Order: sequence, then C-alpha cells, then structure tokens
Amino acid sequence: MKHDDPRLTAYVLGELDAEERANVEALIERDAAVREAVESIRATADLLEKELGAQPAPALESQRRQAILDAALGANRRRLTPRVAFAGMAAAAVCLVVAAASLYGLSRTRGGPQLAAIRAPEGPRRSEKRAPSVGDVPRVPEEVRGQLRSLGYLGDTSARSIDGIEEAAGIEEEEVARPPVKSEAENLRGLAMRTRPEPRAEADLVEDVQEPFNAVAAEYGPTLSASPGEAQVPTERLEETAGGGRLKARSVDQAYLLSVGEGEKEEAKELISGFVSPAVADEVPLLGDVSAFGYFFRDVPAGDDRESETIEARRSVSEVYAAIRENPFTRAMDNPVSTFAIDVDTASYANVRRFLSQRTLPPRDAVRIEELVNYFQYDYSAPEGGDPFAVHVELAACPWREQHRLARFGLKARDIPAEDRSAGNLVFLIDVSGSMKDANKLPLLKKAMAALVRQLTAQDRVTIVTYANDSRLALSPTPGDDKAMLLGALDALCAGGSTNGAAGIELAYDIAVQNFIEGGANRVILATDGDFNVGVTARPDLVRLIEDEAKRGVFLTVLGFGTGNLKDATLEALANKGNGHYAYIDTFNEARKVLVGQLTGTLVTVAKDVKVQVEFNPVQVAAYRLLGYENRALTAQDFNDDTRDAGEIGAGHTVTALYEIVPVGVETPPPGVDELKYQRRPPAPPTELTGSEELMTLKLRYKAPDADTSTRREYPVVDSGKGLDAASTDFRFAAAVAGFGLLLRDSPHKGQATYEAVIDLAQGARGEDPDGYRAEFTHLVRTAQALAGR
Amino acid sequence: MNDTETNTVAWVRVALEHYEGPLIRYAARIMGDPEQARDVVQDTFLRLCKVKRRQVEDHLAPWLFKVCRNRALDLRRKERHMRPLTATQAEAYPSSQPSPSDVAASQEAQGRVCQILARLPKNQQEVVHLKFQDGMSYKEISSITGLSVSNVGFLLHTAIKTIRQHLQAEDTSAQEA
Repeated sequence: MKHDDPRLTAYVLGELDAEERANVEALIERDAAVREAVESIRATADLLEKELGAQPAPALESQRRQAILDAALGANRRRLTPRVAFAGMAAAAVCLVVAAASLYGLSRTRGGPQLAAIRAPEGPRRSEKRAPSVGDVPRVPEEVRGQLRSLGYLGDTSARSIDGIEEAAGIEEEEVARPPVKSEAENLRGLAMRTRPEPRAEADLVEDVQEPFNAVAAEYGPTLSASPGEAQVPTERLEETAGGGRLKARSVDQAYLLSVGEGEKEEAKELISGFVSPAVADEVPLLGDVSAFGYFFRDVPAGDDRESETIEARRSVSEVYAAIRENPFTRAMDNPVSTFAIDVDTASYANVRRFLSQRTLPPRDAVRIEELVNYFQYDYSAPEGGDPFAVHVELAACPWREQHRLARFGLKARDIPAEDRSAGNLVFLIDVSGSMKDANKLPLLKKAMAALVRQLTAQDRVTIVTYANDSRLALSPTPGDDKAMLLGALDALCAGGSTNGAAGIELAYDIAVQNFIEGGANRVILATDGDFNVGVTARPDLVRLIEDEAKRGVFLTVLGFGTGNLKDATLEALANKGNGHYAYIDTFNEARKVLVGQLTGTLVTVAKDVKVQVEFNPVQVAAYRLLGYENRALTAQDFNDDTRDAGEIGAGHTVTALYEIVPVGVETPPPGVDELKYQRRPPAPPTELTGSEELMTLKLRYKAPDADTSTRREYPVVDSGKGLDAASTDFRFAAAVAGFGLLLRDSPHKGQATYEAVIDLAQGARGEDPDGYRAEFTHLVRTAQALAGR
Repeated sequence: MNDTETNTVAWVRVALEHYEGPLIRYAARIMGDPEQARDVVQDTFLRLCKVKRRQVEDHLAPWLFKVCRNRALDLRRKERHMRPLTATQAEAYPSSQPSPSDVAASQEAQGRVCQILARLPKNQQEVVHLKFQDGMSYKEISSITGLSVSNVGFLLHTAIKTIRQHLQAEDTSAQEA
C-alpha cells in the first residue's frame, strides 16, 4: 500500500471495516511515510470540519415553514391508518423515538442556529462513531432521572415515554434500535451542554453519548469550580454579580438557570447535588431570585395524546411565564369594589400567535386575556376638550353564559398627530449577543427601526447602545433627520458574543438623562430575546435605577424577540417598573405596528398611573369577575394612593376591560362562590340599601405625564338589558377575543364558550378591519380549534 | 387531533428544524441563489409530508439531501433552458459556488481551507461538504449523489490531498516571504 491510497482517507474517516482497519493500522506501525500521510489527512480533515462546520445554516422564512407544517397536518388528515394501532404508550414512545431519530441526524450535521432547546449546540458528527445500540447504553440511575424530571428536563410524560421507548424497541427493533439511545442521551447531553463552560474537543463529545451521566457529572464539576470571571465565553455558565457570592448557571442557548433565594439554599443544593459532587455543591453560594426556579417544576400535562407537548415543553424550557391565577367571581355584597391598573401591553397576543403558527397550543400562562383583547383597535370616539381620554361603557348579554352580563369599559386616549407630538429622545438598547442573530430577531429589529427612522424629524434624537460581551455606543445621539447616519448605524449592527446586559442599561440611561428633552418623550427602548433579564433581576440596584429614572421622566419600552429564550414575565415586569410598555415582536408587521404605527402612542404618554375602580351595586349585581388584568390588581386603598404606581396610556391608545357580571336573581351560582355557612342571604337584597337602579360606577384616577397628584373621574352605569345581537361590533369582537382567551386558558369560567361560537361571533364583528388583524384572528381561532381537536 | 396526527406534525417540525439550515446551504451551493435554494428546500419538505414516515425515517438525512439535490438540479436545468441568454452569466459564476454577494458576506468567515476548497472541481466540493459539513458517510453520500462508494472515497481522498498540498505550499511560501 502506498501512502497515496484512498483507503488511508477512508481509515481516518472511519469508513473501513475491521479487517481493513487492522491492515492499515499494521501498516502505520511499520511505515513512517504512511503514518505521516495519515496524520496529515487527519489534520486536513479536522480543519475542513472546523471551517465548514462554522458556516452559518440559514433558516426558512416563517411562511414557508407554516406551509410545510400545514401540509404535514393535511397529509395526516388524509391517511390515518396503520399507525393508529400503536395506541397509548407505544405510540407516545414511537413519536419520541422519531423525534430522536431526527435529532440523531442533526447532531451529525451541526444544527443550524435556529434550533431550540432539544438541540445540543454541538454533537458527535463523525459517522464512524455511531451511537451505541440499546444494549450498551448505561442506564441512568433512577434518582438522577428523578432529579432531571424535577428540573423539567424529563417531564412526567417524557419520562414515561423513555421507559416506553424501551418497550417499543422490543416491538420494532429495526425501526428504533438506534434512536432510543439517543433520546435519553440527548436529554442528558442537552443538560451537559447547558452546564458546560466552553465548547470542547470533538473526541470528548463522542464519548458523552456513551456515558451521558458520567459526562454530566464530570463536566459540571469543573464548571462550578471555575472562577466566575472566566465565564465570558459565548456559552458562559457562571457569573458573579455585584452583590457578591451569587451564582448563576446559564447558557446563551438555554438559559438554564440556577438562581435561588436565600431560604431555598438547602433545597437547591439538593438539586444541584444531582449533578455535582456534594463537596462542589457545598461551595456554591446561592442567593437571588427563586421565581425562575418555579418553571422547572411545571407539569407537562399527562396523557397519551400529549407527545408533541412533551417535545414542545422541553423546547420551551427557558420560556418563563408567571402563573396566572384567574380572578374568581366576587360577591358584590361582600366586596363591592374592584380595582386595577390599566395595561396597554399586547405582547401576549403576538406570543400566542407564534405558538399557534408553530402548530402548538400556547402554555396557559402565556395567555393573558386583557392583552389579547387590547391587541385590537376599537373605534372609540376620541375625548373632547382638554381631557386626556374618553370613557365608553357598554353592556350586553355574555356570549359564554347567557344569563350573565358582559360589561366593557373602553378608554380612548387623546390622539396627537405625528407632526404635533413632542420631541423624542430615544435611546435604543439592543442586545447583539449571538442568540440575536436569527432572522426573527436582530434583522427584524433593524428593518423595523429603519421604518421608524423614516418617521423621525430634526427635533428627535436617536442613540443606539448595544450590548453583548460589553456595552458599546453604536450611535451617539443623532438628530432624527440625519437619515444617512441613522440608517448607516443600523446597517452596521450585527450579533455575536455573549450577553452582559447590566452595563448596557446603565450606559443607556446615562445617555437618556444627558440628552433629556424637557417636555419631550424620553425613552430607553430595550430590544432583547430575553437573556438580558438574567443579569437585571439578580441586581436589584438596576431595577431601582429603572424605577428611579421613570420617576424622573425616562420611561422604558421593552421589545421581546424570538423564541426559546424569552422571559416573558421578567420583561413585562421590567417594562412595568419603567412606566413603559412591553411588546413581543414576532413579525415585521408586528414590529411596524409597535415601532411605527404606534409611534406617537408608544412615545407620548398622555396620562400616567391610570387606575380603574368599579363599584358594583349589590341591589343589581350578585357577583362579578374581571377578565384578565390579574397582574395588575390593586387594593381598594391603592386607588386613592397617589404614590402607588399604575399603568400609562399613550396618545391614541385604546384600553379595554371586560367584567362578567352575575345579575341578582340568576340562580346558578357561578363557580368559585360557595354558599356561606353562617349567613343566609335573602334572594334579593332589600332595595332600601340604596334604591339606585345603577348597576355600577366606574371611577378613574390618572395623572398628567408630569404631575404628582391625580385627577379623579366618575361614570355611573345603568344596564339597558341589551342582548348580544344589539351590541356594537367592537363589543362583540372584544367578547369573541375574551372567549378565545378563556378557551386557550381552559378557564374554569369559560362556561359554554366554544371555538365555533368564538369564530361566529368574531366573523360577525369584523367591521372594517383595515389592517386585516380581525381576519387574522379568526384564522388563529381555527388553528387553535384544529390543535385542540374540537 | 389524534396521536398520529400530532406525531407527524411534530416529526416534520423536528425534521424541519434540524435540516432546513443544512439543506438550504446545500441547495444554495447547487443553485447559486439562496432564495431559490429556499424554494427547493420548501419543496423537499413538502415531499416529506407526502411520503410514509416509515419509508424514510431510518435514512431521513440522506433522503432529504437526495430529494433536495434532484429538485435543485431539475430547477437549474429548467432555468438554463428557459433563459438561454443568461447562460453566459450563469457560467461566469459556477453554480456550485455561492453568489458574489454571498461570497462577499462570508469572505471574512471563510478560512483558507474554504478558499482552497472553492477552487476544486465541483464534484469534489460536493462530497467534501456532505462529508465534513453534513456528517454523511461514504454510503450516504453515494446514495445522495448516485456516485459509487469507491468513487466517493476517491474524490474525498483526492480533495483532501489537494487541499493539503495547497496548505503546505502556502505555508512554505509564507515562510520564505
């Protein structure tokens, strides 16, 4: 054999069978020239793999993906045959197996950047290193599986499915022999990846597959003992915050996070000790916010028909949504007053749309009914005179429970034509970490900002601060009419590196304060896919900064991008702290709607700390329930407390709130209200109580944008007994949207709501719909209906 | 929605997420146009929706690449046929190479190995990409391209040898300089 034999290449690439391999190895022993040739082939192969593997893999546009997924759904509709026989557990197993089969393939191909949680950042790719067959996989000890399960990496369903896979492997040996190994290994690999401080050599990766558990344990150890300061690599896992002694384990990809409250130290250590030696776990200082932890305990719904949710649940492992406890029905006699802060956020709708366009029902807590309702424009007439907003009230029969009444309050803020609005001092704080590269993140933001820039005038100032490893002033304050400069700076933005948001926000606020425009719209606009907040929530001083600056007139707008890493709850909380808005941006249309269409609204606040209090008349109202606004609830006392923060309303904005009202005399007690044990209530309260025919009174408090004391308004409401058919188009549409929210949340209060009824109601209430948003809504409801199988 | 339906959608989605990138990259090299490459990849996945899962799932990756390749070559042939006047232009930029704007964009990211690779014959480039970028085995490359396994081995061997020689030559001249 000469040293120029193709078999030498085949040998290096693992393509030879045992016999030929032995021959070559013998030759290598004997012949220095051959040895040198093999070394050189190997070096070149490594270089090729490294350089070619680093080339970006583009993604399909969302419409194309949607078309494909639609076809997948359609194809299935047409043929539902033999595999149905695979009922129950086995079917679940097969599904996972199949997913895993693709994963297996992926890991050989270096996945594209768009992959979410299931993906490991890198994987074994050399084809000679096949994953071992079922037989030689070490079983992961049950206690470790338990830990993983409790951390959310193995949901209940998936855990069962993994067991099920082994059953399935018995049934369909040929089909599943390879993938099941991968399935479990992949889980553990994913975990290993999440806890690894730096990408490692290929050869080590291959070993992980064979010894997933050992790999986890072995890898986590060194990570934890590494100095936090060294974690400034794209896959940073550890970080010491200013508070000192705090620890976060996180990843740009996965935001796997351990950040635990003081009181939960022991519990957290116990969990950590599932991955590391007790000695190392002991050294981990644990402080901080425990709320992020809650997510990992989220239940994956059980049931054999939830495989896709299992996958989805793992994919969305890092999307955190605060749990929503829906408002219960409250007796007007016990508690006649309901108080809340208005909210013009609409992020939840876009987020729901994203889930549905990916053919998944959104997690319940991602569905905020008030944000769904407020996503749409309602044609409320504008205020007259100097009032900052007009109030519109409408009452009609409740679509999902006929005997109940649905009350809608609509606020319409004063419109300020673009040319009349005050000057804007806009400081964009843009996350340019590696994870923002995806087409639906930074590129989308740049496009939308370019559209915004076109609307700006000489009086406006735009500044761009970027942050990744460090923060950078990408554009010093520039007049809005210097389009070339602005667009040039936008064009130059590119993503790369890890995230260190903390310094960025300080710089952004510094600039905003330096360039403060008296009487103008001073805003910091944070655009991120969510990694940011990890730094901020752990640093109360930054939250305080945001709050303090909001008091001095610099407001915060938060734009959330992308999937898989989105910390919904934290982003919204941040925006709320900063007297600002939070919008989730998933498409260019949405970006334009928020940045351009609502430019005057987002940038010009006409009233701040707007609070709503409704007093119900127990003579007319047995019980009531506010739909949504759960995270905006206030106590009755807060209403008159001017130091108490509340929502803002921007120029031209509309805000809608819905109450479901149980009139006196309706027999069925609404859910959630027990009969009292020690008091018996008369069927109807004595009218002497007030004698009023009024159903309720709406009270509003608000402050002018620069005022410290509030103004109070009152609007009494009488029910004319209108049926749903007689209600306005906007009323019926808002009711349809609320009904959709109840269904998506699978609310205990959904009554007789059905997708069909929601579609009917929405279609009959489309109105003019100039932008097609209402038509899109009907389409979304249909999608949800198909997914829910109802 | 029942089990099977959920499964297929989930399966296609996972396949999509894992292979869209590599396939677009692959098709773009054949077509020389990232947009057309996306058309091709969309078609490929639409095909996937139509076949029985069982028939492809144990060789999903090579199946996708093969369908993608055939579709891309088809389309390229048709295009050339339909627009004979642009044939000279098309020749000016060999279709297996990225378009000029792509080249400009990725020039920085490209290392010297890639630059050498771009000078190799197209069939060598293709097998090198399939092997080192997409992790395909000789057998899989053979099934995708229709070349024999030994031919694949030969092409890879030759490509690696050439690249190696160029690298050595560059190193030597760098040292001399």
